[in-house]
Amino acid sequence: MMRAVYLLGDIVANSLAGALIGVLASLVFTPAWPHWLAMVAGMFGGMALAMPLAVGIGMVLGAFEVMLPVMLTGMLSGMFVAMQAGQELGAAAVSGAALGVAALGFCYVMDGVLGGEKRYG
Amino acid sequence: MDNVAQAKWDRAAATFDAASARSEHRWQGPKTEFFNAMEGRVLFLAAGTGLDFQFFPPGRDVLALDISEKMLEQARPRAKAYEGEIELRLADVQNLELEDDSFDQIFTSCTFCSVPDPVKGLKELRRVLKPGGELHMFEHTGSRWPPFNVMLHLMTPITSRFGPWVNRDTVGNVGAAGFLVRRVNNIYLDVVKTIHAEA
Repeated sequence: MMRAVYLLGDIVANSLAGALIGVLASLVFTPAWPHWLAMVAGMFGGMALAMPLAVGIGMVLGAFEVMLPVMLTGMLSGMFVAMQAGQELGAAAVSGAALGVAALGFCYVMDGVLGGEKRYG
Repeated sequence: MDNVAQAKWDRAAATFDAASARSEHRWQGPKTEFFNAMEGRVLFLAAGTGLDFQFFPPGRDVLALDISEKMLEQARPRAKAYEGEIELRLADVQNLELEDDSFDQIFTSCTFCSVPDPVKGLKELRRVLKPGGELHMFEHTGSRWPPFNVMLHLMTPITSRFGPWVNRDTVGNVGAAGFLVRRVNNIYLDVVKTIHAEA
Protein backbone atom coordinates (compact mmCIF):
# COMPACT_ATOMS: atom_id res chain seq x y z
CA MET A 1 0.00 0.00 0.00
CA MET A 2 2.70 2.50 1.06
CA ARG A 3 4.74 1.56 -2.01
CA ALA A 4 1.81 2.59 -4.23
CA VAL A 5 1.40 5.84 -2.31
CA TYR A 6 5.09 6.65 -2.76
CA LEU A 7 4.94 5.73 -6.46
CA LEU A 8 1.97 8.03 -6.97
CA GLY A 9 3.73 10.78 -5.00
CA ASP A 10 6.87 10.33 -7.10
CA ILE A 11 4.87 10.63 -10.34
CA VAL A 12 3.06 13.78 -9.18
CA ALA A 13 6.28 15.35 -7.84
CA ASN A 14 8.30 14.72 -11.00
CA SER A 15 5.47 15.83 -13.31
CA LEU A 16 5.00 19.08 -11.41
CA ALA A 17 8.74 19.75 -11.13
CA GLY A 18 9.19 19.06 -14.86
CA ALA A 19 6.23 21.27 -15.81
CA LEU A 20 7.38 24.15 -13.60
CA ILE A 21 10.94 24.06 -14.88
CA GLY A 22 9.71 23.68 -18.47
CA VAL A 23 7.53 26.80 -18.12
CA LEU A 24 10.38 28.80 -16.58
CA ALA A 25 12.76 27.65 -19.31
CA SER A 26 10.29 28.69 -22.02
CA LEU A 27 10.11 32.16 -20.45
CA VAL A 28 13.89 32.55 -20.24
CA PHE A 29 15.12 30.96 -23.47
CA THR A 30 13.98 32.82 -26.58
CA PRO A 31 15.05 32.03 -30.17
CA ALA A 32 17.68 34.78 -29.75
CA TRP A 33 19.77 32.39 -27.62
CA PRO A 34 22.49 30.39 -29.44
CA HIS A 35 21.24 26.79 -29.57
CA TRP A 36 24.19 25.17 -27.76
CA LEU A 37 24.30 27.87 -25.06
CA ALA A 38 20.57 27.46 -24.41
CA MET A 39 21.06 23.69 -24.12
CA VAL A 40 23.89 23.94 -21.56
CA ALA A 41 22.33 26.81 -19.60
CA GLY A 42 18.94 25.05 -19.60
CA MET A 43 20.49 21.82 -18.35
CA PHE A 44 22.40 23.39 -15.44
CA GLY A 45 19.72 25.99 -14.70
CA GLY A 46 17.06 23.27 -14.61
CA MET A 47 19.18 21.18 -12.27
CA ALA A 48 19.82 24.18 -9.98
CA LEU A 49 16.10 24.98 -9.83
CA ALA A 50 15.27 21.35 -9.15
CA MET A 51 17.49 21.18 -6.09
CA PRO A 52 15.38 23.34 -3.73
CA LEU A 53 12.26 21.69 -5.14
CA ALA A 54 13.74 18.28 -4.32
CA VAL A 55 14.56 19.36 -0.76
CA GLY A 56 10.98 20.56 -0.23
CA ILE A 57 9.35 17.50 -1.80
CA GLY A 58 11.82 15.27 0.03
CA MET A 59 10.29 16.29 3.35
CA VAL A 60 7.07 14.64 2.18
CA LEU A 61 8.31 11.69 0.15
CA GLY A 62 11.86 10.86 1.34
CA ALA A 63 15.32 12.12 0.47
CA PHE A 64 17.28 10.32 -2.22
CA GLU A 65 14.29 8.64 -3.87
CA VAL A 66 13.07 12.18 -4.58
CA MET A 67 16.27 14.16 -4.96
CA LEU A 68 17.89 12.18 -7.77
CA PRO A 69 14.82 11.77 -10.04
CA VAL A 70 13.75 15.39 -9.51
CA MET A 71 17.27 16.66 -10.30
CA LEU A 72 17.30 14.50 -13.44
CA THR A 73 13.86 15.85 -14.33
CA GLY A 74 15.15 19.42 -13.89
CA MET A 75 18.16 18.71 -16.05
CA LEU A 76 16.13 17.14 -18.89
CA SER A 77 13.22 19.56 -18.76
CA GLY A 78 15.47 22.64 -18.65
CA MET A 79 17.64 21.33 -21.48
CA PHE A 80 14.83 20.15 -23.76
CA VAL A 81 12.61 23.22 -23.43
CA ALA A 82 15.60 25.57 -23.77
CA MET A 83 16.53 23.83 -27.04
CA GLN A 84 12.94 24.29 -28.30
CA ALA A 85 13.26 28.04 -27.68
CA GLY A 86 10.00 29.91 -28.13
CA GLN A 87 7.75 27.00 -27.11
CA GLU A 88 4.34 28.11 -25.80
CA LEU A 89 3.84 27.87 -22.05
CA GLY A 90 1.28 25.06 -22.21
CA ALA A 91 3.44 22.99 -24.54
CA ALA A 92 6.48 23.62 -22.35
CA ALA A 93 4.55 22.47 -19.26
CA VAL A 94 3.40 19.29 -21.01
CA SER A 95 6.92 18.58 -22.33
CA GLY A 96 8.39 19.14 -18.85
CA ALA A 97 5.80 16.94 -17.15
CA ALA A 98 6.35 14.14 -19.68
CA LEU A 99 10.11 14.36 -19.21
CA GLY A 100 9.55 14.22 -15.42
CA VAL A 101 7.64 10.95 -15.74
CA ALA A 102 10.27 9.60 -18.15
CA ALA A 103 13.11 10.56 -15.76
CA LEU A 104 11.30 8.86 -12.88
CA GLY A 105 10.71 5.73 -14.95
CA PHE A 106 14.37 5.68 -15.87
CA CYS A 107 15.36 5.92 -12.18
CA TYR A 108 13.04 3.02 -11.30
CA VAL A 109 14.63 0.92 -14.06
CA MET A 110 18.16 1.89 -12.97
CA ASP A 111 17.26 1.06 -9.37
CA GLY A 112 16.35 -2.43 -10.53
CA VAL A 113 19.62 -2.72 -12.46
CA LEU A 114 21.93 -1.32 -9.74
CA GLY A 115 20.09 -2.67 -6.68
CA GLY A 116 20.97 -5.84 -4.84
CA GLU A 117 23.81 -7.43 -2.95
CA LYS A 118 27.45 -7.87 -3.89
CA ARG A 119 29.70 -10.17 -1.84
CA TYR A 120 33.45 -9.88 -1.42
CA GLY A 121 36.01 -12.47 -0.30
CA MET B 1 35.83 17.60 19.52
CA ASP B 2 35.40 19.03 16.00
CA ASN B 3 33.70 22.34 16.86
CA VAL B 4 32.76 23.17 13.27
CA ALA B 5 30.97 19.84 12.77
CA GLN B 6 29.36 20.12 16.20
CA ALA B 7 28.00 23.62 15.48
CA LYS B 8 26.66 22.49 12.10
CA TRP B 9 24.71 19.58 13.59
CA ASP B 10 23.53 21.66 16.56
CA ARG B 11 22.01 24.07 14.01
CA ALA B 12 20.49 21.18 12.04
CA ALA B 13 18.87 19.63 15.14
CA ALA B 14 15.81 21.90 15.11
CA THR B 15 14.68 20.77 11.65
CA PHE B 16 16.26 17.32 11.58
CA ASP B 17 13.09 15.31 12.28
CA ALA B 18 11.05 17.25 9.72
CA ALA B 19 13.76 16.73 7.09
CA SER B 20 14.43 13.06 7.85
CA ALA B 21 11.23 11.44 9.09
CA ARG B 22 9.88 10.54 5.63
CA SER B 23 13.16 8.97 4.58
CA GLU B 24 13.07 6.85 7.73
CA HIS B 25 9.52 5.83 6.86
CA ARG B 26 10.48 4.95 3.31
CA TRP B 27 13.46 2.93 4.52
CA GLN B 28 11.65 1.16 7.35
CA GLY B 29 11.84 -2.29 5.68
CA PRO B 30 15.58 -2.23 4.91
CA LYS B 31 16.39 -0.55 8.23
CA THR B 32 14.45 -3.09 10.29
CA GLU B 33 16.28 -5.91 8.48
CA PHE B 34 19.60 -4.09 8.88
CA PHE B 35 19.35 -3.56 12.65
CA ASN B 36 18.03 -7.10 13.23
CA ALA B 37 21.66 -8.30 13.13
CA MET B 38 22.43 -6.51 16.45
CA GLU B 39 24.10 -8.83 18.97
CA GLY B 40 26.38 -8.48 21.99
CA ARG B 41 27.86 -5.14 23.08
CA VAL B 42 26.92 -2.66 20.34
CA LEU B 43 28.21 0.80 19.50
CA PHE B 44 25.83 2.90 17.40
CA LEU B 45 26.39 6.19 15.66
CA ALA B 46 25.20 8.68 14.84
CA ALA B 47 22.32 8.71 17.31
CA GLY B 48 20.93 11.98 15.93
CA THR B 49 17.47 12.59 17.38
CA GLY B 50 16.99 8.86 17.91
CA LEU B 51 14.81 8.24 14.83
CA ASP B 52 16.62 4.93 14.24
CA PHE B 53 15.86 3.52 17.70
CA GLN B 54 12.39 2.45 16.48
CA PHE B 55 14.12 -0.11 14.23
CA PHE B 56 16.33 -1.68 16.95
CA PRO B 57 15.27 -5.17 18.01
CA PRO B 58 14.21 -5.17 21.68
CA GLY B 59 16.51 -6.17 24.51
CA ARG B 60 19.83 -4.98 23.10
CA ASP B 61 22.64 -3.19 24.97
CA VAL B 62 23.70 -0.16 22.92
CA LEU B 63 26.03 2.79 23.45
CA ALA B 64 24.77 5.50 21.04
CA LEU B 65 27.01 8.46 20.20
CA ASP B 66 26.44 11.82 18.56
CA ILE B 67 28.53 14.94 18.11
CA SER B 68 25.58 17.27 18.81
CA GLU B 69 24.18 17.83 22.29
CA LYS B 70 21.06 19.38 20.76
CA MET B 71 20.45 16.16 18.80
CA LEU B 72 20.97 14.08 21.93
CA GLU B 73 18.46 16.22 23.86
CA GLN B 74 15.81 15.12 21.36
CA ALA B 75 17.04 11.52 21.38
CA ARG B 76 16.67 11.08 25.16
CA PRO B 77 12.90 10.36 25.27
CA ARG B 78 13.28 7.91 22.39
CA ALA B 79 16.13 6.13 24.17
CA LYS B 80 14.05 5.94 27.34
CA ALA B 81 11.10 4.46 25.42
CA TYR B 82 13.29 1.68 23.93
CA GLU B 83 12.71 -1.81 25.41
CA GLY B 84 16.35 -2.44 26.15
CA GLU B 85 19.40 -0.40 27.10
CA ILE B 86 20.49 2.66 25.13
CA GLU B 87 23.13 4.86 26.73
CA LEU B 88 23.56 8.21 24.98
CA ARG B 89 26.92 9.96 24.93
CA LEU B 90 28.35 13.09 23.33
CA ALA B 91 31.39 12.12 21.24
CA ASP B 92 33.38 12.84 18.10
CA VAL B 93 34.02 9.64 16.12
CA GLN B 94 37.38 11.05 14.99
CA ASN B 95 38.61 11.00 18.64
CA LEU B 96 36.74 8.38 20.63
CA GLU B 97 37.34 8.21 24.37
CA LEU B 98 36.64 4.50 24.41
CA GLU B 99 38.89 1.52 25.17
CA ASP B 100 40.43 -0.64 22.45
CA ASP B 101 38.63 -3.88 21.49
CA SER B 102 35.52 -3.09 23.53
CA PHE B 103 32.57 -3.75 21.16
CA ASP B 104 31.27 -6.86 19.39
CA GLN B 105 29.53 -4.84 16.69
CA ILE B 106 29.34 -1.29 15.45
CA PHE B 107 26.32 0.06 13.57
CA THR B 108 26.31 3.37 11.73
CA SER B 109 23.39 5.13 10.10
CA CYS B 110 23.99 8.01 7.66
CA THR B 111 27.12 8.93 9.60
CA PHE B 112 30.15 8.82 7.33
CA CYS B 113 28.56 11.23 4.86
CA SER B 114 29.12 13.84 7.57
CA VAL B 115 32.35 13.03 9.39
CA PRO B 116 34.96 15.60 8.23
CA ASP B 117 37.77 13.00 8.06
CA PRO B 118 35.93 9.72 7.37
CA VAL B 119 39.00 7.46 7.21
CA LYS B 120 40.23 8.77 10.58
CA GLY B 121 36.77 8.12 12.06
CA LEU B 122 36.65 4.62 10.59
CA LYS B 123 40.10 3.84 11.99
CA GLU B 124 38.80 4.85 15.42
CA LEU B 125 35.90 2.42 14.96
CA ARG B 126 38.35 -0.33 14.03
CA ARG B 127 40.34 0.41 17.19
CA VAL B 128 37.36 0.03 19.52
CA LEU B 129 35.95 -3.02 17.72
CA LYS B 130 37.05 -6.44 18.98
CA PRO B 131 39.24 -8.45 16.57
CA GLY B 132 36.87 -10.13 14.12
CA GLY B 133 34.07 -7.78 15.23
CA GLU B 134 31.50 -6.60 12.72
CA LEU B 135 30.91 -3.17 11.21
CA HIS B 136 27.41 -2.64 9.77
CA MET B 137 26.74 0.62 7.94
CA PHE B 138 23.57 2.10 6.45
CA GLU B 139 24.92 4.99 4.41
CA HIS B 140 24.41 7.10 1.34
CA THR B 141 27.40 7.57 -0.94
CA GLY B 142 28.39 8.92 -4.31
CA SER B 143 27.39 6.98 -7.41
CA ARG B 144 29.57 5.17 -9.93
CA TRP B 145 26.95 5.89 -12.58
CA PRO B 146 27.89 9.09 -14.50
CA PRO B 147 24.65 11.20 -14.52
CA PHE B 148 24.05 10.67 -10.80
CA ASN B 149 27.76 11.01 -10.04
CA VAL B 150 27.80 14.45 -11.71
CA MET B 151 24.64 15.57 -9.90
CA LEU B 152 25.92 14.43 -6.50
CA HIS B 153 29.26 16.17 -7.05
CA LEU B 154 27.51 19.40 -8.07
CA MET B 155 25.26 19.26 -5.00
CA THR B 156 27.98 18.55 -2.47
CA PRO B 157 29.37 22.11 -2.10
CA ILE B 158 25.85 23.20 -1.07
CA THR B 159 24.73 20.21 1.01
CA SER B 160 27.99 20.01 2.96
CA ARG B 161 27.43 23.55 4.29
CA PHE B 162 24.22 22.51 6.05
CA GLY B 163 24.55 18.74 6.35
CA PRO B 164 26.20 15.82 4.57
CA TRP B 165 28.66 15.35 1.74
CA VAL B 166 26.68 13.41 -0.88
CA ASN B 167 29.56 12.24 -3.09
CA ARG B 168 31.67 10.12 -0.73
CA ASP B 169 33.24 6.76 -1.62
CA THR B 170 32.40 5.21 1.74
CA VAL B 171 33.05 1.62 0.63
CA GLY B 172 36.55 2.68 -0.42
CA ASN B 173 37.02 4.54 2.88
CA VAL B 174 36.05 1.42 4.86
CA GLY B 175 38.75 -0.53 3.03
CA ALA B 176 41.26 2.33 3.47
CA ALA B 177 40.67 2.21 7.24
CA GLY B 178 41.78 -1.44 7.32
CA PHE B 179 38.42 -3.23 7.43
CA LEU B 180 37.64 -6.25 5.27
CA VAL B 181 34.52 -5.41 3.26
CA ARG B 182 32.32 -8.53 3.11
CA ARG B 183 29.05 -7.37 1.55
CA VAL B 184 27.52 -4.27 -0.02
CA ASN B 185 23.76 -4.16 -0.59
CA ASN B 186 22.35 -1.35 -2.72
CA ILE B 187 19.03 -0.14 -1.29
CA TYR B 188 18.36 2.70 -3.75
CA LEU B 189 20.32 2.89 -7.00
CA ASP B 190 23.98 2.57 -5.93
CA VAL B 191 23.60 5.58 -3.62
CA VAL B 192 21.79 4.31 -0.51
CA LYS B 193 23.40 1.09 0.67
CA THR B 194 24.34 -1.18 3.53
CA ILE B 195 28.01 -2.07 3.95
CA HIS B 196 29.09 -5.05 6.05
CA ALA B 197 32.74 -5.36 7.06
CA GLU B 198 35.01 -7.05 9.62
CA ALA B 199 37.84 -5.66 11.74
